[in-house]
Amino acid sequence: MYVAVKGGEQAIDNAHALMRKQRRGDTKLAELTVAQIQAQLPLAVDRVMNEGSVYDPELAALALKQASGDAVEAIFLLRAYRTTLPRFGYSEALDTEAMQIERRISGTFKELPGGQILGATYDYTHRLLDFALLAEGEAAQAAREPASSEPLEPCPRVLELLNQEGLIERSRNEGEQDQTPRDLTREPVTYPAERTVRLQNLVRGDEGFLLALSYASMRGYGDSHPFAGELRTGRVSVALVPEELGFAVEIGDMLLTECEMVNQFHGSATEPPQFTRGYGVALGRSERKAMSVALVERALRADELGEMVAYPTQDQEFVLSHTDCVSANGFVSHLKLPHYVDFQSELEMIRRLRREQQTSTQQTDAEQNDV
Amino acid sequence: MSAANQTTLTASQLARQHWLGVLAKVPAEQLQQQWAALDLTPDYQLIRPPEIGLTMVRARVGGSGQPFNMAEMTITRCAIRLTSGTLGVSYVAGRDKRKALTVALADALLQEDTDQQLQQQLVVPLEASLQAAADARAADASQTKVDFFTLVRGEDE
Amino acid sequence: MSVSSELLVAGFNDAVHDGQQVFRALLTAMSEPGKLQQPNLIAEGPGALNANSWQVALALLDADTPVWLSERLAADAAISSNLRFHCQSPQVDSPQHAAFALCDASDVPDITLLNMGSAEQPDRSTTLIVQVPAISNEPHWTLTGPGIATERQLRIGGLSSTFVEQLIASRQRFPMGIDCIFCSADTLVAVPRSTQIDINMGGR
Repeated sequence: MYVAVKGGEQAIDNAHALMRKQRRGDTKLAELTVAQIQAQLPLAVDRVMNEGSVYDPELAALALKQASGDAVEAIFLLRAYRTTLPRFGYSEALDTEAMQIERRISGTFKELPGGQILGATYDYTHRLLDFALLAEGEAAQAAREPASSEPLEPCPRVLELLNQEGLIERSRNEGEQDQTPRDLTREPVTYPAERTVRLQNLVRGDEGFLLALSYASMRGYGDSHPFAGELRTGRVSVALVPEELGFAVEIGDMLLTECEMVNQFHGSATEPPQFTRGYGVALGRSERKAMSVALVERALRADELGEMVAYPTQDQEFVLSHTDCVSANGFVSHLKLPHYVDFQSELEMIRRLRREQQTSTQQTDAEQNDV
Repeated sequence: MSAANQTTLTASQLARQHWLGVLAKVPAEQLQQQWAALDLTPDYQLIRPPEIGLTMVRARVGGSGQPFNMAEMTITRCAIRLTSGTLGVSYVAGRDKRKALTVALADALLQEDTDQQLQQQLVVPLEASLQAAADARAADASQTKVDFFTLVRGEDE
Repeated sequence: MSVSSELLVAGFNDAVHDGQQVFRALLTAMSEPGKLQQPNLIAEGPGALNANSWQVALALLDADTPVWLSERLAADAAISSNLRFHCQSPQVDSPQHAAFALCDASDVPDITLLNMGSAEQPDRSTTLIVQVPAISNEPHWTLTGPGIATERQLRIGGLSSTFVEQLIASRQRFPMGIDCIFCSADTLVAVPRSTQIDINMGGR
């Protein structure tokens, strides 16, 4: 017998109204504007853009407001919105070498062309709660004593320094032609996935999951001994070629964080010992994300580099099919839906098994008594 | 931008490429102010009313390797035709339909701007303000550049 | 092939809502074969393409739908330029690879060259959009099949007898086959692969 469950419409409406009331909170306090979220919680906005996979800070801020600050819910909202928009083609590949740098550091070389530029960072702070921020009024602006009065110099890629000696793999071979990358929003991922598809998957992947995987790979569950070759954040110009113009036009700037990890590689039958690279990139100022992507990206190259695939972080199918927070959230959340019928059937089964067990125990007891 | 593609562009295409980039990048408020001050009211037909969509942004593996699809970006495009027949187009990041229309109109008028007047009144000042903003950001970053110094230890003579 | 900007005509005034209205009309046309629809949301089409075919193209084609143009339509720079500009559809040389094929009644393709889909994926077939001089419910074809209570009469002008014979013969390959949308200047009608066509011998 199947009994359809209906009802609860009024309760759902009221629950939504209550959610809106809770979201607004104490009405004696001024309501938070989307512009404020965009301006003052930019790192939360960046996370939503990354995993929502849409670069639009205003929409991400709106999603955060609507989701009461729940990043995963906000990401879901942004993903849902993107499905309503038409696709106007693909951009030209970004030239991140031409990035207008706002932060750039290297853990491999102290003195490097362009220098170490710290930018705005939480590194080196003491992680002491700043009670001044709790007080009303503007926080004092930091006095600016120039550490360096020189203008910014060009910042070439750090890993190119190793490239000159031939000690690191090239990211592109001489005369290699561009191939059109597959787009996982258009065709589902098949395994083994090529490096370009893996990267697309990781860039939109859950930050916490990728952070934990990279942590595990460094602790021993993966063969990872990396150096942070370079980390850079800044603005990159986005251009596309409209059909009717036939030449590229710039449409705007994108704030990006890029990370290149350097890993040891013991060499193989065809390759001499050298350094290999793991590449990570993330929208906005998302250093932790970019580093995690780079670490996991390198771990997933185990197969192509002839390394042993021994740990989950090196297993493409394990990693790539579980990075997406919208899918993960959806599958976990579905347990909240009514499973009344399924559960009834399991309940019936447990009762039956119990009865059967009891009967057989009684029989055995009777048989034993007969002896 | 592929170098091969770039080299074959004519001077007028290069000029158009340049102003479309400047107009797209300049903050909408600044653009509208500068545009309104010129008090231009050309007659036009909408060929493609301002329309919001997404473009898939591609980056390169390792920064310089094979291209891959990184993430989408919101974009608004528009096309208009002046009564003279000149077509103006716009492709601007974000979801500002008014900005897209203004850029498309400016694009058409700039193509007819034989005396460079509009170029001087609109593109030049907006480009200067873009440059000023970039310089200010670079100056901020420059303040945080590490100045290494080495502590001299006594062992070496 | 490039886009000639001087040949561009206007697309939908309101891309979302106008597109939805045309789509709604097409949905009705497909689900009730032979029923005439007149969405008329656009004044003129590019070059030799009539306004009706143009609005159908605007509603159905995009960057993910390869389109094939019949020889005469392909030679019309206004048509290919506007399809590229407004729809971004890649134009393919072989109808076998096309999601949509666009042609004029005077210039129809050999139906057997179109993609009829496969037994596993009959939905991968080419949808044929034919621009025709006239459409009416005068008796000529008697249509029967899903979406038609008893039977419906349809007369479509300008079609060659070879084309009609091929179309009727293609019914034997169901569920594979070709879905057709016919567009006169102001009326559209659909004849999907599930519709049986009988030519009235008594009619003219």
